[in-house]
Amino acid sequence: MFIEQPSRWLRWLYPSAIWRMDPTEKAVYLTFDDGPIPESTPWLLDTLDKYNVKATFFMVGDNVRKYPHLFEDIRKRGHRLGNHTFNHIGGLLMSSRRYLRNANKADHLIGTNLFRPPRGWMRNRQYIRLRRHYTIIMWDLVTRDYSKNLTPEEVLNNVKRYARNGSIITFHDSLRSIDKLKVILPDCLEWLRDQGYEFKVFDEHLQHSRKLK
Amino acid sequence: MLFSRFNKSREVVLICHLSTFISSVIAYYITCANPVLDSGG
Repeated sequence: MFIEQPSRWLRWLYPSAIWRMDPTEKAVYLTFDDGPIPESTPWLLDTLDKYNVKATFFMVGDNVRKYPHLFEDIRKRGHRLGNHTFNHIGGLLMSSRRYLRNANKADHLIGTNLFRPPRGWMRNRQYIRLRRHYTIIMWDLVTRDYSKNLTPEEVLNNVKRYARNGSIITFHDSLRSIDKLKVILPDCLEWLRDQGYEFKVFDEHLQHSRKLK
Repeated sequence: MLFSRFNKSREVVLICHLSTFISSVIAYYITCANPVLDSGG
């Protein structure tokens, strides 16, 4: 319960990051981390198209380098692009300079003002420097679709239990999650729509950002 | 002086709690690994 929906005191760790959009708006913001990969991304894109849903993909730069056609496909289908570092690195034992350089390397391929740190982990100094250049998007609900301990139904129940107005919902575009998503993503999209939620992506002008120099 | 009103076992427990808390904070800042805040990927 703590992991699925971060508590208020955890959100104070990164106060200028975006954890939730307008709570008065009946809308959710779907995000997919870690792609693009051929085993997962094409199915996700087709499913989102089928339901006419746009999402935000926080992509790993090295995957973009390996699969540029998938990156182009995501862009052409009108989804929002986000930076998830070049090598999916966390702040763990990584100097701030190297971490920022890695994020910047991904930005050269992806070209976006949105950033999400892998696993949400970054040092305070990294956070302070990143926010000068990017809008940092965290999450209001993590579905735990990556977890070996959860069944697809439990992942769907996480969405049903914790989704609320303005929720930024985190799924994964990865090998660990795709089998579960193939089972529950259509139901999830239908359930959210039945509840009256609109699917939105982050505005281009969400926050002014400058490129890293 | 501060602990003079406590018996020895309470002091030990208090010190254990404090040291655990402080080492957790330090560990967080060293590793950035926060088990409660984890998007999973």
